Amino acid sequence: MANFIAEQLSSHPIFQGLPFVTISDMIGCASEKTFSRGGTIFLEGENANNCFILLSGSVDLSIHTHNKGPIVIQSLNGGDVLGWSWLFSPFIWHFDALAKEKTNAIQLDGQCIRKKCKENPELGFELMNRFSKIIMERLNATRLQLVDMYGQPG
Amino acid sequence: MDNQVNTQGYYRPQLPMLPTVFRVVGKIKETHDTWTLELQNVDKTPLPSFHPGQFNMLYASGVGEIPISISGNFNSQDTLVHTIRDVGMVSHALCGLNTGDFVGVRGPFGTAWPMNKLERKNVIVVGGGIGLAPLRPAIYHLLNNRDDFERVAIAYGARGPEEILYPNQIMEWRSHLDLMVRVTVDAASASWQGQVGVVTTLIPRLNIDPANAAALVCGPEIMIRFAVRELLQFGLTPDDIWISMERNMKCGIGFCGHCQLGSKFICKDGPVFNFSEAEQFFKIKEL
Repeated sequence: MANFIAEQLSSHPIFQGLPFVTISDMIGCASEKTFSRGGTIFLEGENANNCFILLSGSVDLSIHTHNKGPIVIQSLNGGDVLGWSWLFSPFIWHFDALAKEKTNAIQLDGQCIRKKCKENPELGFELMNRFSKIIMERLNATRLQLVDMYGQPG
Repeated sequence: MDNQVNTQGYYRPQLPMLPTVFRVVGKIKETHDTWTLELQNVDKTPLPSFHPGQFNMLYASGVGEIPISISGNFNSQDTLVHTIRDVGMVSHALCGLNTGDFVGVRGPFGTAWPMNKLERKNVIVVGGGIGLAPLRPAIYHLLNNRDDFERVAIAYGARGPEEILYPNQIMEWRSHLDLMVRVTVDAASASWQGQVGVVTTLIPRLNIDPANAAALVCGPEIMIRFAVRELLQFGLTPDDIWISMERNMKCGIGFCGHCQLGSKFICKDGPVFNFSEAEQFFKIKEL
C-alpha cells in the first residue's frame, strides 16, 4: 500500500520533482480513501484536517443556500487536489464536498503535514508555492464565474 | 440571391444591400430566451453558398436588421438555419416570428472558420453560451469530413444546465467514439450530474497533443480572452487559434463603419480572425 501511495504522490503534478526522501516522509501522513456515490467528504464549518488527492471519480463543491438549497460551484475530478483550508488558519472548511460518484483518493493528514513543514521549512515553502498555484487558478475561475459572462449583454 | 466571389474567396451577394425574402419554415425553442429559425427562400431559388462562421443580416419587418451567424449545416440545399438570442428589440421580433412569417435576409457576409487549414491537425472547438451557434457549422464540417482531421475535442460552457444550447445534439455528438465532448456550467443545483466550473477549466483536461493542434473559439469576448489565455498555456501558439468576434454590424460590407475595430471591419475582415491578427485589439481597453 505504501508503494502505491508513494507512486501516486510522486507522479502527481503537485508533488512532482520533490525529492523521493520527502515523498517517503509524507507517506506516513497519507492513507487511501474511497467515498461512495453521494458520500460526504466534508461539510462547511467542520475542522479542515485533511487534503485529498483525487485519483478517480468526481466531487462537487457546493454551498448551501436558504432558498435554493445546495448550489454546486465547482466539480473536481481524478487528478485534482481537493482542499487547501488545512493549510491556513483557522483550518475550517468553507464549502461542502460530496462525492458525485464513487471516488478514490489519497487522504493527507493536514496536521501531520503541517508538522513536517514546521520541521522542514524547505518542504513548507515548496508546498505553499504549489498549493498557491492551485488557489490562484481556482480564484481566477471563480472571478470568471462572478462576471456572469453568459448573462444578458449590455 | 445572385452571388460572386469576393477577394477572400468567399461568395458574396451581387446586390449586398438588397434583402431577399425568406419564409420561416421551422422554429425550435433552444432555451428560455433562444430560438432557432429555419428559413426557406420564398422564390425557391437555390440558397447562397456559405462557409462555416459566416453570418447573414436578418431583417424583421418594420423593426430592424441585425447580424446573426449561420448555425446550420452548410451542406443543406434548402434551408438556412439561424439561432437567435432574444436580447434586444430586433432579436425579440425575430424570436417572435412563427412558421409562415417572412424575414428579410442579406448575406452571407464575413470570413469563415479556416477548415482547410485544420486538416491533419488536432482540433479543439471552444464555445461559450450562444457562441456554440457560429461553431456548429464547423462541427458539422469536422464530422462530415472526420478522416481529414486528427483528434477532435469540443469544450462547451454555459451559464447553467437549462441554458445549454442544442442539448440533444450534444448528446448525439457524445455518442461519436472519435469525438471528445466536454460540457460544463458555471453553477448548478445539486441535481445536475454534469461538470461545474468555467469553460476554461476544461482545456487543460483535454487529452489532446497541443503540438499539432488548432483551436476555434467563440463566445462572449471575456470568455474568448480567458479561453485563449488557457489555450496558449496549454501549448498552442497565437497562429493556431481562431476566434469569432462580434460588434454591431450594420451594412455587412465594410462601408458604414459601425463595426470598426481598430483598422478592421468585423463584418468584412472578420468575424473570424486568427488570434495573431486580433491579439492587438484585446490589449486596448474600450475598443
